This record gives sequence, structure tokens and C-alpha cells, in this order.
Amino acid sequence: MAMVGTATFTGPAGAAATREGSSVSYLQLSNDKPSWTTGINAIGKVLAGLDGGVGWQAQPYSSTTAFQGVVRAAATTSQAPPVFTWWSGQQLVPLVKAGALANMTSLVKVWEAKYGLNPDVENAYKVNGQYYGAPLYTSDWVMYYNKKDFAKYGLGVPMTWAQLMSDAATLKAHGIAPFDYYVDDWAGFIWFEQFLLSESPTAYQQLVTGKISYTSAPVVKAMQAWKTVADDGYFGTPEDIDTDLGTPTSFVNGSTAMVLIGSWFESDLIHDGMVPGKDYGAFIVPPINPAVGWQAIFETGPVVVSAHNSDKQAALNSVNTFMEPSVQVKWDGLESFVSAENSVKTTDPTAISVANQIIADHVHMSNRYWEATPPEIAVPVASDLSKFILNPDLPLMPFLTTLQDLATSYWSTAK
Amino acid sequence: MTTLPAPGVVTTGPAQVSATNDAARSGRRRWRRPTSYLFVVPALVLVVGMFWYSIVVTVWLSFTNSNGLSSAQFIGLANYRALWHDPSLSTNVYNTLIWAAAMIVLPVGLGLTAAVMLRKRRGRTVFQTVFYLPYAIGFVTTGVIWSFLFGTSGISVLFGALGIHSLANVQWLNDVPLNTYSMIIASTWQIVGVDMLLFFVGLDTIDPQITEAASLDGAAGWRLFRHITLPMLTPMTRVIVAISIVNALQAFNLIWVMTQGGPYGSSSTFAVWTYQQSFQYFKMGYGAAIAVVLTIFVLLASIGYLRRSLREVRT
Amino acid sequence: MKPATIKQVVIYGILIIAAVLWALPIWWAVINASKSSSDFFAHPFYAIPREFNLLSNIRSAWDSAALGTGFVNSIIYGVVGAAASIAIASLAAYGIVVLRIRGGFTIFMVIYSGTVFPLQMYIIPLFRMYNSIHIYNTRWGLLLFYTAISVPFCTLVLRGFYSTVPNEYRESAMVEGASEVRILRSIYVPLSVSAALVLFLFQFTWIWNDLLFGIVLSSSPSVHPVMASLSSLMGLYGGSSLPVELAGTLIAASPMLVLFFTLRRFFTQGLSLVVRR
Repeated sequence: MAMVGTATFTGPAGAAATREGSSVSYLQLSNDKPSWTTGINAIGKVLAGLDGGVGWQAQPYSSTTAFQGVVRAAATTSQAPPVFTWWSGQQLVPLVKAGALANMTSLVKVWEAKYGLNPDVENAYKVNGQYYGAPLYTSDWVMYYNKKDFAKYGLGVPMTWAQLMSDAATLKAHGIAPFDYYVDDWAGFIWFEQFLLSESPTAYQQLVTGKISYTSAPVVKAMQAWKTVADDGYFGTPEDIDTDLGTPTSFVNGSTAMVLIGSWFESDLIHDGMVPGKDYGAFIVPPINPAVGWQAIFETGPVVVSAHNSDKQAALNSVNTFMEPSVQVKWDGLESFVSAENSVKTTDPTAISVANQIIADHVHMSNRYWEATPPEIAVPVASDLSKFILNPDLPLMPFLTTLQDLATSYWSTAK
Repeated sequence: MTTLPAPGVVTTGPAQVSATNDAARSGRRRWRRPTSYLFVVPALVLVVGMFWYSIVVTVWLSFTNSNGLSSAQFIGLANYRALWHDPSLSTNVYNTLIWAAAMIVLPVGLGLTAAVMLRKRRGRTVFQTVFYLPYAIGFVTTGVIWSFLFGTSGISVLFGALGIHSLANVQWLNDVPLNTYSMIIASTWQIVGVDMLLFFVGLDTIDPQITEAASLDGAAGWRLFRHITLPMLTPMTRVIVAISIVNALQAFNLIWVMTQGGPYGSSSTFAVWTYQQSFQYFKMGYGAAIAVVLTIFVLLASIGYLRRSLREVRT
Repeated sequence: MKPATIKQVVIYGILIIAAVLWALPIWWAVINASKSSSDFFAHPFYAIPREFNLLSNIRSAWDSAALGTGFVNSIIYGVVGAAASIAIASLAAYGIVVLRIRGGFTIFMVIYSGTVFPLQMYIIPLFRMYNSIHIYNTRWGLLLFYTAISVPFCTLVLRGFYSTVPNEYRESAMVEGASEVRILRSIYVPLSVSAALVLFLFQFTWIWNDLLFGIVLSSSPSVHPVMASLSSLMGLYGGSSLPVELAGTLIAASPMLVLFFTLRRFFTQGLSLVVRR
């Protein structure tokens, strides 16, 4: 691609646009998601062809830690990438505090009015009342299930927790691991948030904002519910999430029947030859306590604009164009995503069935633990939770106390 | 010994050679022309400009509370004090020492054994190639292969099929301290071939006339090896051990690729810890302090080697 | 030909078992790199591929990871970086050992200690420096880094080697009026060719296998070294499954094998000179 070549030998990180033709230019979109490169470049071309003529070009980093380090090092200088992907919620706060991100509040109000934005998603980009990102992708966390396994043992999509547990028991009796289980730097929170939400969504919100402790009653009850499932042997052998989700061997060959994961996982499954609707499906995890109501996690990631890059205005324009429904439809098609805009409908069958279930069962959506908690707490807690995953019999209260200590050391010094 | 050393063949090591040079040197004047310094300028400029500059920046960072984003404030020795009291300190020290001990003993010991066994045997080339292959494929490939093999769809499946269920249920990368040992297996697998090659060279430099003379005198097998061969290998052994010390203490790449030091930091070494604190937790001041402490260890460990070898070269 | 003894049989037995154990993971890597996706998921990893899919996997890896550019770049970085660092180290070693400049030992320690520090800590200071002097994401910038990173070890080895060259050669050349540079070029360098080849192999391999600095100091595929291009295939957001990843890593490793076979015969000779110091 000619444009890539022009970009390299001049200029520092992500600065400038390249010129191709008379009034078209491309901005480097730094990200840590190499598999989206083709999609980003394709949508970037679409953007370039529309009003304003400013497109995107993917600049992928294959290591998330290196990506974050580099972005942070450049963030408050003019070397910052003009547009880049990031994380929502509390993960935006350090960048906002450092003045690294362009304020998008006025644009967001426009999108809200013209296209209709999912309010939960929109809130994920709000810091101190102002908005700093546009939704690049939104995923619901659902339970993917291997249809062949379910069909083989006569199991249906569970609508109650009891049914889910009995499905698990059947699978286990036939030597299939019911639930996939992950141990990794960050994956520890996946089941933690599910059990806590199921126990009390209010407690979940209070915990992530530091209003209640990790040793409080709702958290303890959630951990005990988790332990019960682990003691029943319904979790598979814990594996490394990055290795396994890149190549989900046990789910594809059916030796594991269900995976609780974000819907971005679907493109991996399709890539590995599974057919949506035929080989796999997805459902929302039923509540343990029906009185609490259906709960689910969503995850959303933004595209943000640097406040210090000289192409800031062009970048904001490109993001504005990106939010137009015609562009959103194309983007969703490229990556099997679901748009945050109410006016944009998805065509992916699994996503449709999930969306229908969300409406039908009045599922309440909460932002993922990783984004809802300040990163200073989320990172070490998620890592420590693997201790529990690998040894559910550990003394619970001392363990939860160490988690609370991590939280306290942050909240006590936070302004 | 009954024979003079043949030209180009090492018999007793560096001492003899530098003795010859010394005799030649004592009779001449030492030049101190300023243009002589030009010879070291390119190397100094590169190393000081790129690396010493970075080291100075890192040492400075270790006295601040930098998070890589906002401006950093000077906090004196607070990071070092925190390091001393950190509950993960003992795990990291323990793992770093285990890696160092294992990566010095295993690849060197196995490499030497293989070199001795293969010496003068047919098919040496084939064996050489097989043992060197893992190094040729690089640490990224090694990490990918062994992460898979130690995962749930890897050798566990093979053991299950063979009926060895005790091994089939082992969680190679999750159990502590097994995860460190598993990664040491992968790393040893990778490095043995290199050390073996280096030992081949060392063995080849031993004058065959000496070993023949010794065996005529009645020394054979193990005794020949222990009293003649092994001492003559000392220069090569020292080179290999010294390189292994530095590499072992800095063990990072393979660990990061396979477990990122986890789960929950159980397989972390100092080199992994400094990266994790700097780039996952964004406590760059703290990460810098860890790096400084690690460097001090590595310097202390390598000084032994450098001092001994320098004494013989006498610069 | 000596008759086979029990000892020989036992030794060969051990060697063969060891060789098989060593080769197994590579064998598994090769057969799994040759499987199609469905074949890989449907059967255990140690099963032979049902159909031979290696070439198509290599092509997928090659295209998705832009390996072609990565290869070209890494060859440039490896050849130029290793060669330049050997040249620079030769100069430094000559100055320290032969010319015996004052403070030579300290200067040597300053050069050698450059890589005693945990390398991953260099990434942010270097990233920042590269940006301020505008060599970020340039081939020159990476070349500079790869050369600099190889200088310390090359200096260590060449320093030891040059100190074993008898001074008579230099002295007789000086009597004939040769300059220092000429002495270095026509006496020391030819003598050290084998050591230099060994250093070339080691440094080329290091440069070829570098991942972290390739990712941090460059961002475009056109500047990326091969491992940086390759790693975009892997992990959670890599979008490739294991057979394609393996095919990619194996093909990326092939130049290392070629280099090994080419330089193997120089090895033995060269390293013995290194050891003699």
C-alpha cells in the first residue's frame, strides 16, 4: 500500500497524515488488535471517500503492554497518535487527567440526537461529566455453547440457573467439561463479575466505585456461589486465555461445552470453521436469584483522539464521519460487531438472538469489571483472583482481605 | 609432557600465550597518542548514547513515582523501601535464583555430556543438527510450541492416550513451582545445542598427543576425562558459564511469552517483575527500582568472570 | 574399525533416545503446521495430518503477517547490524588491547556493561529519544539500535582474541612504517576472520529473533523486523489458529537454519581461536 510507505520515513509516531491524490489523507490509528487491521483499513478507505476526505490506516501493536507503554509515553506530546483505540470507563481516567484526550462532548450530543446512542455504552465514555471517546466496538458477554454437545445429550438453552446447573451435571457425567475456565493476568475477573452481578447488581456498582469492601456480605456470598460450582467440578482445567482463545481447541472439538466470553469471540470461532447457528449459539447466563432480575456484562472500547496531535481537528472529523449509520453498518459487517447506535441493525444471527433475549428478558447491562474499576485496583485483583481459580479451598476471608487492601491503598490516595 | 605444543593448538590455556606477549612488551615504550582514542570513539558513542543514557534515565526514574503519563515527583528511596517490604520479593528472588542455577547447570552439563559422547562418533553431524534446531527456531517459536504442549490440548492428551493418567492431569503451567520448572525444560531444550557446539570446539582444541600420552600412562575413561580433559576445557567452560549467568539472571523473553510471570506472579523473575510493574501496572518508578537492583546482582555475578579472565590478558 | 562394544551400544542408545526427545517437539510443530484448521481441531496434536496443508498455511501466515517485508527488513538489520558492530568492536578492541590507551579497562567496562542491564527497560527511554531526534519508525533508527546492542559482546570477544595475537607482527609492521589502521586491517582482521564469522552468526541470530524493540521502535509493517510482523498473528487478537501460527514461525526461522548450515564448518575453527584468548 503506497500510503504506508509514505508514512514511514518521515516524522515521528503517528503524527501526520499522508497525501494520496488531491484532498484525501489518512491518519494512523494505533491499536493493539492486529486481527482488526484489514477491517480498520477497509473502513478507513470508506471514510476517506466521504465528506472531509480523512481516512484511517491501522497501526497495530502485537503486544498490549508495549502498546500502552508507547501511547502513554507519547500521550502528552505532539508525537501522540492522532487516533487510537483504548479502553472505556475508569481506564480513560489516567489519560483524561493528563490532558491527553480531545473532548468529544459536543459531538456525542449530536450523535445522541441524530442516531440514538445506547445510554449504558455512552456512559462508559464519560469522565467528570464530559465525553472522551466514540464507541469503536461493543460486545455483550454471553455464554457460547457447542450445539453439537447440547444436541447429543438433549440439552436446551437454560432459562433458569437450576437448569444451567443440571445441564452442567449431564455434560460432566459424559466426560465433557461444562464451562471453560481461564487463568491469566487479566482473566480472573470474568466469573467474579458474573457471580457478583447475579448476587446483587447494586453491590457490584458499589464495589467498583469503592463504596463497599471486598469483604462485605454480597461479595462473600458471590464467592461462595462460585465455590459451589467449582466444587461440583463444572469448570474445566484452567487454561491460559490468550493461548486458548486464539486457538479454542477444546470448545471447537466439543470437549468443553460452554465459554463465558465477550461476543468478539465469535469472529475467532467463524475463523476456525464453526458455523453460527449450526455449530454454536449463545445465551445470557440466567440469574442465580430470579428476584434480582437478568444481569449481563457488556464491554465497549473507544476510538479516542489525541488532544496534542496537530491533526486533532481532522481526527475529530473522521470520528464524526465514522459514527454515521451508513459507515457503522459497513464496520459491523467487517468485524461482526454490533453498533451502539439504535438505528443500526446487525445481521449476525447469534448477535440477533442475544439482542432479542436482552429485550425479552429485560436484561440489565453493566460495564465490565475491567473498565468499571480503576486500573490500579483492577489489574492486581484480576491477577490475584487466579489464586482462587486454582485453589477454591483457600481461606476465603483472608483472601478477600488482601483484595480489599489493594482497593484501600488506591481509594485512600485518590482525589 | 613429552612434546612441544604444535603451532595453533592450545595446550595449557591463555597463561602461556600472554606470557609470551609480556616478554615482548616489556621491552617497548607505551604510546599515548591522542589519535589512539579515536579507535574507541564509535563504540563509546553508540553504547553511551543509547544505553548509558537509558540507564541514567531509569536510575533517575527509580527515585520518582512516575506512571509513564503525568509528570513524576521525586520520592527519594521510597521505591526501594517498598521493594524491600514487597510480599512478592521472596518469590521473585527464589525464581530468579532457580533459573540462574538451572540454566547454568543443565544446559552446560547436558551440553558437555552430549559433546563428550558424540566426540569422534559417526553421525555426529546429524546429532549436532538435531540438538541445535531448537535454538535456530528462536524463542518466539519455542514459546508457541511449548505453551501449546503444556496446555490442556498438549502433552496431557498424549499421556491420557498412553494411559498415564497421573501425568495427564498435571497442570504444567498453573501449578507452583512446577510452572517455573516447565519453562526451564523449554529453555534447556532450546539452549543445550549451543553449549554442546561450544564444547565440541573446546574438545577439538585439546592436543590429542596429550591425551594419548596420558592413556599410555594408564589413565582411561573417567579418570582420563576428569584429570586431563575437564581441566583443559576450563577456558571454554568459563566462557559458557559466564554467558549463562548473565542470560539466566535476565530470563525474560520465554517467561513473558509463556506465562507472563503468572499465574498471580508465581513464576515471575526479577526481569519479568520489572517489566510487569512498568508496563502492566504503570508504576514506572517502582519498575525502574527493580531493574536497578537486578542490574546490581548481574554486575556482581559477572565481575567474578571478568576479573579472572582479565587477569590473564593483562590490559 | 573397532568392533562394537557394550559401551558403544549403550552410548549410542542414550544419544538416540535423547535425539528423539529433542526432535519430537519440532516434529509436532511441523506436522501441526501442515494441518488444515478442521483437521487440527478434530484430532489430537500428535496425529499425522489427513491432508498436507503446509504450503497453504505458510501462504496465509505470509500474507496476514506481511512476512515478506519483515524478512527483507530483518536481513538488512541482521547483516548490516552484525557487520557494523563487528567493525566498530574491532576498532575498539584494537584501541584497548593493542594500542593500550589509558583507562582502557574502564572504557572496556563502560562498553561491555551496556547490555548487563535488563534490556526491556530500555524501551521507554529509547522510544522517547527516538521520537525527539526523529528516527522513530525508520530503518536507520532500527539499524542504529541493532548495531549498538551487538557492540558490547563483540568487543568482549574481539578484545580477548586480539590479546592473543603476538606483538611481533605489529612491531615489524611498524618498523616498515605501517599506520595503525593498516596494521589492524592487514594483520589483525584477517587473523580474526573465523572469530568474526562466529560473532556474525550469534549477532545475526539475536537481531533476527528480536521482538520487543522491533515493536516499540517501529510501527509500520514496512519497517518492522520479521518477529514483529510474525507476532501480529498470535494471541487473543491475532486472528489465526495454531497451524497457521506454527507455519509462520517455522518459515520465519528458516534463515537461521540456512545460516547455521553455511557457517558450521567455520565454527569449529573460529571458536577455538576465541577460546584461546
